[in-house]
Amino acid sequence: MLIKNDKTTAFKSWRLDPFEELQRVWGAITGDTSLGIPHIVGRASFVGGNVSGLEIKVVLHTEEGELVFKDGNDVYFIIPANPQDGLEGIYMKLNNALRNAR
Amino acid sequence: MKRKSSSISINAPKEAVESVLNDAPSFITNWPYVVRVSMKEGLKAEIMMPRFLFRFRDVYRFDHHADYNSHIYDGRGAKGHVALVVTLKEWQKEISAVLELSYKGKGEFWLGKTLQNFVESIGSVLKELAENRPVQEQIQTYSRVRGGTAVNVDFADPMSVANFLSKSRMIHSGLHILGEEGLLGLASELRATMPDRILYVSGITSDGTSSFKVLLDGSRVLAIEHRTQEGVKAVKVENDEDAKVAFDVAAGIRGAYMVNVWVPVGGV
Repeated sequence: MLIKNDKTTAFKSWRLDPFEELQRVWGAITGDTSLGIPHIVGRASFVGGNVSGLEIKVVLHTEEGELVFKDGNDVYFIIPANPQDGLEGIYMKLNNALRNAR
Repeated sequence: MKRKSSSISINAPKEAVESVLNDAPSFITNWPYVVRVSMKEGLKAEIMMPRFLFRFRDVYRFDHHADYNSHIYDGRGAKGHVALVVTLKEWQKEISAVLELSYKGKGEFWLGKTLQNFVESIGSVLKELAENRPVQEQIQTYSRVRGGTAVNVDFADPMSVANFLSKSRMIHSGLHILGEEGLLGLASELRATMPDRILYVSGITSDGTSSFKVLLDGSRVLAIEHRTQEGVKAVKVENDEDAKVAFDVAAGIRGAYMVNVWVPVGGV
C-alpha cells in the first residue's frame, strides 16, 4: 500500500525568501549559455507544509527538461530557467513544481 | 432522444461569458439554423435543421434557467423538444464551456450529424460573442479584480507575490538604465507606453547583486523592495509615513537593470 505523507510536504508557504536564493544564482542563469539551457537544480526542505530550507544551483543541460520528486520531507527539483522569464517567471515555475510534487 | 456535446475554451473573463449567456434572445439569434426569433408571448425561435434533402423546421418556445455555473435553454416545439445545457468551468485564467444539446422529435435518428454541427457552432458562437464583448465592460470588471489582488501584495510574504503573479502576465522585458531620478524616472517612462493602472515592475542587474520589485497603482507606490549586497529594504505602503519611505527607496535605485513588467489579467 502506498502511504502518503502529504501532511508534511503539501506546499503551503515559504518560511524564507525564495527571491534571495534565486537572485544569488541569477548571475549563473544569465551567464554564458552557449553550452546549454540553464536549469535550476536544488532541494527544498519542508516543515509542516512550509519551505524552511532551499538550496539552488545552476547547471546547463543540452535539452530542456523538468524533474521534481519528493523524498521524505524534501523535494528535489530540476527546472529549466529561462532568463527571459525574469526572476518572477522562474519563481512561479518553482512554486508550481513544489505544489505539484508527488 | 439524441444527445451531442462539445467543449470549448474561451479567452475572456467569466463575467463576459455570463453576460452573453444571460442575454438569451441575442444568444439564440446567433445560433446557426435559427431562421427567425420572436419575442411575442415569450421567446420563440424558428429553427430549421437540414439533413440530406430534408429540412426539419419547427418553432420552439424557449425557457432560460441559470444557476451558479450552468445555463439551460429549454425549447419546446410542436414536433420536437430541443434542450441546450451550457456548463462553465473556471480554472485560473481559463474558462471552458461544455455544451450538451439534446433533441427529441421528428427525424431525430437522421439528425446526428446535423446536431453535432449545431452544438459545435453554438460553441464557437459563444466563444466569439464572449471574446468580443465591448471592451468597456471588460475594463470595469478588470479594475475591480485588479485592485483586490494588488493591495494584498506584501514583498515580505512570497506567497502574496505568487498569488498576484499567477493572475498576471508579463508585458514588457528589457534593459533599462536608471539615472538621476532613480526608479521614478523609469516609472514615468513605462507609464507613457502602458495603459494599465496597476504595474508590477521588477529589475535585476545581470550579475544578480542588486534587484528591486515595485508595485505601482497609478502614480502611487503600493509596495517596494530593494535588495542589495548590504541587505533588503522592503516597504508595504499603508500610510503617509510608509509612502515617504517608499519614495526614498525608489529614488535611491540606480544602475543598469534588466526590467520586467507584469500586469494583472481578469479571472480570479
